Amino acid sequence: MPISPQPSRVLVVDDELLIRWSLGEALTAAGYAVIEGKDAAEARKALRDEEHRPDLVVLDYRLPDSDDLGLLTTIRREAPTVPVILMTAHGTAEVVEGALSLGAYRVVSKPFEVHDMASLVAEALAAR
Amino acid sequence: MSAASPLNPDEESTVRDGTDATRVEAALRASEERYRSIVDSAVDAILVIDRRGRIEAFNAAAERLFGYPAREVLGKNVNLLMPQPYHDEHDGYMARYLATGEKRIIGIGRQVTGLRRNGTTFPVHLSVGEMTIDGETKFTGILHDLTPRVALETQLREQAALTRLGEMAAVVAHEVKNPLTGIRGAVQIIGGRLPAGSRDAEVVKEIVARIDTLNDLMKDLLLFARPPQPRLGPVDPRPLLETVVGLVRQDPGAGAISIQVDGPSDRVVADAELLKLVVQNVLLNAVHAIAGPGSILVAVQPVESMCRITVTDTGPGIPPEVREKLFTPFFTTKARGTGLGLSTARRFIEAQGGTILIDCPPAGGTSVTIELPRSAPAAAV
Repeated sequence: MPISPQPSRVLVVDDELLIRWSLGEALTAAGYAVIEGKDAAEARKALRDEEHRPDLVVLDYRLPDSDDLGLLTTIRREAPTVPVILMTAHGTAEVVEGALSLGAYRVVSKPFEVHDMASLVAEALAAR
Repeated sequence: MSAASPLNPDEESTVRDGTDATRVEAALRASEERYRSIVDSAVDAILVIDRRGRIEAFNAAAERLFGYPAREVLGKNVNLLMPQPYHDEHDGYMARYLATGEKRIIGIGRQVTGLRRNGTTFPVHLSVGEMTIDGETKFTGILHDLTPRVALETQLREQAALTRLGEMAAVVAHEVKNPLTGIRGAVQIIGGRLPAGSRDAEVVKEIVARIDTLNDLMKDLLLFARPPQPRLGPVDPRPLLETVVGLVRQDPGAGAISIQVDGPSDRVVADAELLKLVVQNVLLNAVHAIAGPGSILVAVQPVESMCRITVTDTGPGIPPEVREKLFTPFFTTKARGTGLGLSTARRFIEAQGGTILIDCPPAGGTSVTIELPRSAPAAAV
């Protein structure tokens, strides 16, 4: 009996409800299992959940309880195999370079095309 | 010092003895020479007026500062050197002082405005001393040009304002872009569930387009307020200009406009991305100014250590009162525009060690001249 493969789990972290919701809808429609986190604390909790550990994180650059690239640094250290796509409304060259040097897979400037995120996620997962 | 000698009154000698008189006269002459040298070598302007405000002495620095030779002002009312309303009020100030003895500037000094011979005004610090010569009250004014200091202060104030604006823009941009991203995404998801081609779906598309316009505005504001650090490198302006011209030709307004790039290949030290943004902005301004059929010439011309890029259009030109505000942030003549394009362009060009000027030649049209430093010739490879 064929076993249907488990959908990849994507953790979406943003304090803006509408961003979480729209990304959740778009990624679910593309076949991913989406976990949402509204701040760094929820993101850390989701990453420590061994049973439902996310395969990829879509992360906001600035969160109410995390300084700029702080959470990205933590994720890269604690889960180095989990690709991170960073979203930012501060698309300066310094932010982009800082994130890429910390190992972010890609930096996406806000606002972005919500439907493009699914293909970017697929690309990042394929590149693991 | 050109003067009716107020600083050195002709002192009547009571000495009758011939030898003594000669010696005293020689001493007086030497003394007068000494004073004259001091006054004339002074860096600050020194002038003397009588109790009616007539100029009695005007040193070399005063001549340089106001642009008048002494002979033109001696005997004239000192209000000649003042703009309105001080020009008309000065006689009153003097009369009030002579009547009441109330000092408002004498012995105090303050910043005032001077009027040059050519009609321009300038900030100047004036201190006034009072003296009595042969029973006559005279006033000595010492004027120190404040133009460089005021210019520096203005520059520092503008820089501080820009820094504050940059900080504010970063916060505002984040606070606006974040919800815009959410709204845009949510509207797109909801719109995707509407029947394709329906009126509602069209409205959703319009909403997304409006959100993008708002986002562009935030981008313009951020670009001006927090310009990226230029990444300088050698750039050949020719192909860069060709690329930008190619983009601008696609503008809906550019259909009837011929755009040509002329001049040799060159090598400037610039940030190619910033330079592209500037040239695109200038070219689109030209396209919008022409508003119909016309032509734009983009010329590259090496001029000694600089490379000059001139964009000349056949548009209607710019009225002088608009021209002087072109680089003022938020000034615009367009119904829709942030008024940040040219001020941003200037910030970018100056950050690359260049200059940008806008001129309207008598022949008509507008000509924008950008000069950028040329890179030193590369060593033979």
